[in-house]
Amino acid sequence: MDYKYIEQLLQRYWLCETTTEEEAILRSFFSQSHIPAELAGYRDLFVYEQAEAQTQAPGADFDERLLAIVEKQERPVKVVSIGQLSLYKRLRPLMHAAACIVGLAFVGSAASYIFNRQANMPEGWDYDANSYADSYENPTDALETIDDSFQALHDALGASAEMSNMTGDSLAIDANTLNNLKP
Amino acid sequence: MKRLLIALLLTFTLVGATAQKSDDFASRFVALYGKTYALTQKTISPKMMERIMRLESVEENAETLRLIKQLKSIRIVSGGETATERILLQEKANQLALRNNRRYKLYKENDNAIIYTRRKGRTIVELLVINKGEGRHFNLINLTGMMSDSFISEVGRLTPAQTERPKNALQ
Repeated sequence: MDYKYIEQLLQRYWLCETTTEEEAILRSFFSQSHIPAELAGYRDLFVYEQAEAQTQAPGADFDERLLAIVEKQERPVKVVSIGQLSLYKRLRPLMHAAACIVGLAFVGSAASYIFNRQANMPEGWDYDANSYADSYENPTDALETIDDSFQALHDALGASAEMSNMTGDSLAIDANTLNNLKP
Repeated sequence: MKRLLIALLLTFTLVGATAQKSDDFASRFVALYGKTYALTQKTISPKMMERIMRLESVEENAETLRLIKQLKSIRIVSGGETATERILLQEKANQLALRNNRRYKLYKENDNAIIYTRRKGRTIVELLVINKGEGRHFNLINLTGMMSDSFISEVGRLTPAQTERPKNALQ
């Protein structure tokens, strides 16, 4: 079979002189199953072109699907209504700030009370003065209890002036005390 | 900001908690054994001490005034319906002081009584007198204040006349 016409078309194809009808002829020729050996080398070229022409165009719902994906990824838009702000809403940030300052002042005064309360008590006396509920209403009656206490301590120490068991203390005897002890 | 305020509040609460005042020995003793044994307690508070110091009889006696000025409070606990109970209470008081030996140090012990002190530096802030011995009443005398060692020695040298006071003393 004479394939001179095909060869001529191929020559014109390489020189870009073929018309679309002639290219279609070449494509249909090379789409056949039986092609001569000397022309088989060109088959892939025209078959590739034909396959590439068959593009998979997106369907009609492609746009909708794509928009759905995009909208899902988008953050919800906060809708802010434009309207008149009431006086309360305008002053609310200021009130928040004032509340914070009041809270800080309260905490600061509480801390000051705690630390100053410690400072006002005699150093070393760390008992709760409010925990003492008086058994007496009359200070004279209470004074008798003091006397009893002194008596008990006096008896416990013994009448002797020797303090043999005392631990490292010094006796501070002044003249006034000695004079007071005289009958 | 809210977290900072809460943290500050917690901090000062903790500081306040750690700054809690301590109880004296007598109140602890009564709290432990007051429900089991019939104990009576006499208390002179710091406020009453101040009123006592303003009594005329006290103001006129320089030595008494000097001694009372060193006191903040007095508690006297007594009790024990039977001799056995009284001895038991004496033991319990002694044991309680010994268990808290980091706080209370033995000052003196003789046949009549045991004396413990609690010091801050050289100042005696608490003085305990626990009498002991069979046949003796149970008395626990708890003095608190800012006492010096000379306070104890001065009380030890007081004569009976100085420790007793006319019951109908005029103010």
